[in-house]
Amino acid sequence: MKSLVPTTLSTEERALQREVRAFLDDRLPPGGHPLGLGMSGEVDPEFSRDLAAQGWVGMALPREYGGGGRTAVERQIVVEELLARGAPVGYHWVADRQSGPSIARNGTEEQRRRLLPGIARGELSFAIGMSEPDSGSDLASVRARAVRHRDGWLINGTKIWTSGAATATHVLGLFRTSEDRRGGLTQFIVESDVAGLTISPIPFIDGTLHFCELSFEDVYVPDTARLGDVGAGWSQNTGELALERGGVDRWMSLMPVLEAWARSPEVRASPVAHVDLGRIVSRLWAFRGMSLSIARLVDAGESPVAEAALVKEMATRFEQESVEIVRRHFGRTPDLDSDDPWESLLARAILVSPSWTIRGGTTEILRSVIAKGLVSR
Amino acid sequence: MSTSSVSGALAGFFASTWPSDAVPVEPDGLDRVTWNSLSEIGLHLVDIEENLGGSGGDLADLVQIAILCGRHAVDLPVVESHLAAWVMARSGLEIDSAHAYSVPLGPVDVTVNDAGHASGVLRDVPWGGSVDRVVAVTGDGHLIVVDPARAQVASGRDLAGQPRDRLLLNEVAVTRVSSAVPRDELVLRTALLRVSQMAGALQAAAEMTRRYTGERFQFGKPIGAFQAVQAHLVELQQMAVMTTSLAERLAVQPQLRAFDVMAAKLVANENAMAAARAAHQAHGAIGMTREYRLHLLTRRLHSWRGDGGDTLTLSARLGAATAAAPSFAAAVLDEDHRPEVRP
Repeated sequence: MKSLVPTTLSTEERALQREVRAFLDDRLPPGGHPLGLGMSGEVDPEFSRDLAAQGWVGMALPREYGGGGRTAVERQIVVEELLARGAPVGYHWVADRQSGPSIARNGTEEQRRRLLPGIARGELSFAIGMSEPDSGSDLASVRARAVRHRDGWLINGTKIWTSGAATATHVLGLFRTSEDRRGGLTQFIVESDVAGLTISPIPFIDGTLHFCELSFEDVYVPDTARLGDVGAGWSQNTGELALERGGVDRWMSLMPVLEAWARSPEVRASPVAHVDLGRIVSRLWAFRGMSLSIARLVDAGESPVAEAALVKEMATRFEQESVEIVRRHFGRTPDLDSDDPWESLLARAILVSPSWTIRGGTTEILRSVIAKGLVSR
Repeated sequence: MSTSSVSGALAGFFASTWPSDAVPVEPDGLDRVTWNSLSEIGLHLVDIEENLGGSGGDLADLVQIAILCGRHAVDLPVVESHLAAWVMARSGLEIDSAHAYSVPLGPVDVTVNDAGHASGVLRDVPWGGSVDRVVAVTGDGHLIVVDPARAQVASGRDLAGQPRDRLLLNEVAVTRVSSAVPRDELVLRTALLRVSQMAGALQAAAEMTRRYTGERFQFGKPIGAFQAVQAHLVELQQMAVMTTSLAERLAVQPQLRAFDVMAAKLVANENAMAAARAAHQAHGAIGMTREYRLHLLTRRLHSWRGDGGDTLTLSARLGAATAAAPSFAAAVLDEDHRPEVRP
């Protein structure tokens, strides 16, 4: 395991932080937008486009493809401010965090020119097609299949528990192209309005409809939809994990709830609440330092997969614990339909927080990733 | 000195002086031979300018030394001597590089009369009866240097079995100057160095537990092959990596901010508790004995949790400060807008 080298923000990075803050204060005044829990923020294409116009979507993508050519740390600074406000990041989130960087790394020149500028303008929205009804944590067991057909591929099968697919323009999916367990997997980028692809929302536990099932029936895609080499899907997918797991989104879901709670007169007057608030703010401060160190490792060209897993595993559990702490101080059961947006958000957090230790790698899988990292030292 | 050069150059010294296979013994007073070999290198005087009698280097170097002290369960007042010498050097007093020093970690309840004689109590002084001098910062901003030979020493031990004494002063002649270091600053530096020692002890506990669970066979395989046991190893690793990152992060800040240090100490306290529990659970009965070395680490962790800020006081103060601050998010994200708080 690499050591997490301590780091602070440079003068330029702090200037960016102030710039983002000022923009969001203006663009998202309190009460003016529906509050979201971290990466599960609302889908608002207009907001995503406005953010992109500032240069803050696809920041870490290369400039020649419309990206910002900025660092992982600079991207983190923008993301932190968004999540702190519960901003509607749902439309561009996956493309910005994961699919864009993956296309930049693994895509052909044509794919980069075709897709990255749209991602950086906040116009394209991606969903990730990984899980299947019989394939969750054991991702190498996926069965949805792509078979060569004419000059392209014919895709059949089912992807499930895919967030944001109903509003996404593209799905980046992992499909079986041969029987070799890991070497038989290939990634494809499928346009979501393609013939034969049916996207059906699955009502989530809080009643929202972001979760989807994707049914592929003889979906034809040209070979230009293939991302990377045939059989390279597994390793490309693994490479995305450091991006998916190590970020601040793994401990900032609850920030808008915590902000409102910490500001409330009840907390200000309650020494009992101070004890709990002190614990929460300290641990988040500590996680922030670790996330920043991980982002610096990414900028140094490393792929800190084990470090990202180490942070995600404990940070997501702590987020859940924090929900319970805030609820305990609330004094009654919060109402999901409350007119008070923060009460409603707290109610939603109680319902959805079990997903935080499941999505992006379950606690159990992460522990085995970390344990393997310990053995291989 | 760079951070890596310090820990690299000194790792050998620590490993040979405090070998990891040594039979654990409770210290009986200050081991002067070992102290002399350590003070000759000037380890306790790092991050004190050379023209003030120190060894030079910076805070990051000092933190690495404290981490090594924690890793090797060093049974000498290295950190305490540093704290005392640092306050003395800052306040214009000459330090004796051969002296072992200590500072009271408990309240300083001392008055000094016009003749320069001190009366009162110094509580929780590590190695207080066996060091050469004890240095305390009084409530009115003075620094006093006490020769423990002139004090009445009530000996005690901390949870780790290390000397922790109380000094009763009855009109004892002391050196007294105005302290250039406010009490709060001394508390913060104490907390930072305890966090560093805890990080080192957590690293060693994680390694010891990983080794043991690889060697201990039950049901025909090493117990570390069981996922339920691996969960303990993972938690230990998390606590060690996280606590190390806290200490190293504080060491590169332009100045020690109270919020940062207190938050780090609070997190370290909680990490120490979780890790000690996991290490003992993975070890089973052998870890509960004094014949096996785990207790050298876990007992120190328990003891250090109380120094430089206990969990309840820290969380209450940090929480009150955060509730009064304009933004919760800024407390976490913005170095320029941490809540104002006093240790």
